[in-house]
Amino acid sequence: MQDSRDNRLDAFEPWSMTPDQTAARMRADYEKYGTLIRLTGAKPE
Amino acid sequence: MHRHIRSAACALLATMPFTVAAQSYPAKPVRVIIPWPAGGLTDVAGRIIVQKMGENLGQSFVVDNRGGATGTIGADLVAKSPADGYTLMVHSTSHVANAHLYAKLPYDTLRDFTPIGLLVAQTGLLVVHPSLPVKNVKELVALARAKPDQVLYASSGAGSFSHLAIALLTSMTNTKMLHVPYKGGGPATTALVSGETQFLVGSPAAVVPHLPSKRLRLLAVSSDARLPQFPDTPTVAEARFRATNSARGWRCSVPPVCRGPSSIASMRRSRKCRTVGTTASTPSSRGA
Repeated sequence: MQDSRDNRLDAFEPWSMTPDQTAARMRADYEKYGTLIRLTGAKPE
Repeated sequence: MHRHIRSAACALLATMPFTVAAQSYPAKPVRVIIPWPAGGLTDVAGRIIVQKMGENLGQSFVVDNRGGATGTIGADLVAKSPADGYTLMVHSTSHVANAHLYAKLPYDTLRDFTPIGLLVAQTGLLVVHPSLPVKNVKELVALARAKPDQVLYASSGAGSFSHLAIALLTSMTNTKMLHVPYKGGGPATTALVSGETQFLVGSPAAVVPHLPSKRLRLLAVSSDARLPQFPDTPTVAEARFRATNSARGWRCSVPPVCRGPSSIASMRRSRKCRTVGTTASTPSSRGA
């Protein structure tokens, strides 16, 4: 029997990375999102 | 899917070489701060994974939800916690976005935390209101070009993944669309269904329930490849716009970084750090 969380988990897929790979991904996304936020001028709510 | 998420926990654990120090860690319950309210997507995924970690390590991993200010309140708490491996955090893409959204944070996003691993990925679904006369991403972009600032897209908030995914698309296609931010993915989806806006990139959990009834129409997915759940739905990249790369949100586990006389790099190579899987060093290292 599925619990209520299962439907929400359909939003995800496992994504396994080593610590080094994770750090690299975070650094890359840090730059990527920084560029986009500067571009859009987004501000916190 | 629940089973697959658990496999992610196992994979995370596999990054931790259980050698000598594994016999002593964790010697007490581990606090896991999730800087989002209970019941949210990060909370749901995080709880499942840390529960599995606790089962595998034979110790309690206690989730502590510290939501607020798009995750910065909880992140600050973690940054100021002892870097002894007994305080972890499960955060989302917002962790890196916050560094650019806020003029000043009480912590350094990259230097004050050391990642353990990405846990799960979240693909965005680009959906439109059925009244919008487009059948694919190319037509959507063509419409935006023909009517600058007249195509309205909803998001779960300024700077959110749902906002930035479309910002990426508009940037790469040199189009202008009007952003309408809402307070969360739920309200944004509701607004789209009601016709207040015309499209959004949302999570499957939020938008899929509206697809069978045709209250929303799925145009594309934001992942690198098509999703097994929607094999007939193309990726945004398949529209072949220059450099429209994938946009995926993620959830990761990040404890406070170890500080001390040794460099972060050497800490991360150390047996204890790797064993803990948190790159924590000695309890006294932080602030040393």
